[in-house]
Amino acid sequence: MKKIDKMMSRLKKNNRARQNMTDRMSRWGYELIEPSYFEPYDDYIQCEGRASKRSTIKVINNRGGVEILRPDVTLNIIKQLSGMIQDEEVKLCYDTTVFDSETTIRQRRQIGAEYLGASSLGADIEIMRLALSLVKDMPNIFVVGHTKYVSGLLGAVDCTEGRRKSIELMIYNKQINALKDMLETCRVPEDIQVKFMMLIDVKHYDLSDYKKGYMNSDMSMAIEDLTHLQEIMDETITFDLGLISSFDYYDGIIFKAYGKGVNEPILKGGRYDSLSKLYGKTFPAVGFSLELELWMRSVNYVENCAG
Amino acid sequence: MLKIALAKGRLGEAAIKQFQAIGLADVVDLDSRKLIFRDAGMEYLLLKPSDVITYVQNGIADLGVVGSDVIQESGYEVYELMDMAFGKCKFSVAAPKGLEDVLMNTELKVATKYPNVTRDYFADKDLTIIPLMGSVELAPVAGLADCIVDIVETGKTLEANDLVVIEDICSVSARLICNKVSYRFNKAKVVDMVEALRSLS
Repeated sequence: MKKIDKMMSRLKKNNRARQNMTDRMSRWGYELIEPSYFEPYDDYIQCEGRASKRSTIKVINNRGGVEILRPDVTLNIIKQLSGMIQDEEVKLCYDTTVFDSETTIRQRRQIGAEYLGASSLGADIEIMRLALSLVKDMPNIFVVGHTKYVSGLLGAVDCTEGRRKSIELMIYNKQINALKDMLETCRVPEDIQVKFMMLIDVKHYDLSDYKKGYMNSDMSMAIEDLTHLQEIMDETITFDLGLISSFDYYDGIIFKAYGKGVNEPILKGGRYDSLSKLYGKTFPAVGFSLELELWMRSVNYVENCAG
Repeated sequence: MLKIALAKGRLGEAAIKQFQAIGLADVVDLDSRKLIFRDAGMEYLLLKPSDVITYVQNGIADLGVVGSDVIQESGYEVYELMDMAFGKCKFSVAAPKGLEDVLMNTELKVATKYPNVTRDYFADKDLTIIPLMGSVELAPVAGLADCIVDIVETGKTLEANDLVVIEDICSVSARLICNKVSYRFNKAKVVDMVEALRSLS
């Protein structure tokens, strides 16, 4: 195949995928929004746990103020809508680029949806079903967790914020030995240590196993939410109570979808009710974003393996 | 099919023994020059120890056995599923005899094969790291550095070069690692393997 033909066929495939996804979201009642390219640097640093400061692309405006090119979409949308939402439910979706600069300046296309103003588990389920529908045609693993389980457990540990972050990172990487040592150093009681180890232990657990032993109200709330989910959703999903998101603003259900041949999650999402606080009136929100290049890579990988 | 990356040398030999004890890796022949072995449902890759993690991180291998020193230095994100309890040693700081108070200096020159581990450990010091590929023990003796950061097993090499351990950083041992995405897709198989390996001890 000639180079130009290859390029055209790739483009066609890409555009078809984008069209299918945005059409689907539109059929589900999600209106396409075009977020702003820029956001003030001061807003960005107020909200920890997004893209690292170093990796954002800074732009100087004509008043000498620093702005950044959007590193993600969610905060942008929240800001646009803050002050407008009272108690309405708003469903939005996007198909747009985000920017970062790890080694070189990169732009990535993200497709996603946000369900604002609804705090119910029903909204969580709708968003997850929409997310699942975007990856349903490829082999995927859809993992669901809940931030309140880990945060509840961490709340039971008497240690510095720095150590808490280290513990989270150890759970994230399933570092059994390092975690054991750290829990010993922090003098964490045995019954709580057991619960930490369950988060990273390589065993088959049922959701009900996580109820045994030490529990507090946040942890119970997480298990309750996930148990309801399990009863209602008949899609193929797996649960991982040790699922950690690098975005600090998630607060409730979180989920990630993995595809074959790609080394990072293709899709990430969750509930982030507290994010709108940055701009005044708080409203609940749940959403996800899909990395189109990763999605494409996985589709191609599976096709190549089959053919 | 699961692919397992193994290190050539002592670490790999010990790993293969454990895998053979649970009925795997019988096909691997360390005396041959082959680097890839296959049997029903499994593939084994023999690699340079420091490359094991690179294959696993990139998803070319699903699992691997590697020293925790390599994991720490690489900064790669992989799951560390279990401590294999061999290849035990520690990361230590060593200095020439008689100069044991060298860490009191505000400026410090450290020779090492592990620049990232060294930088993390001395985060609050004014540090010059001198990266070396080998014979690190020579650096302070020859005047290239004030002290070294290296893995210490018996301490005999240090002793032969008039060096003493002045601080231990952390212990090191072989770990079973797994690619994060492949763990999701192969969880049942991986869990069975880990449980079988655990039952050996």
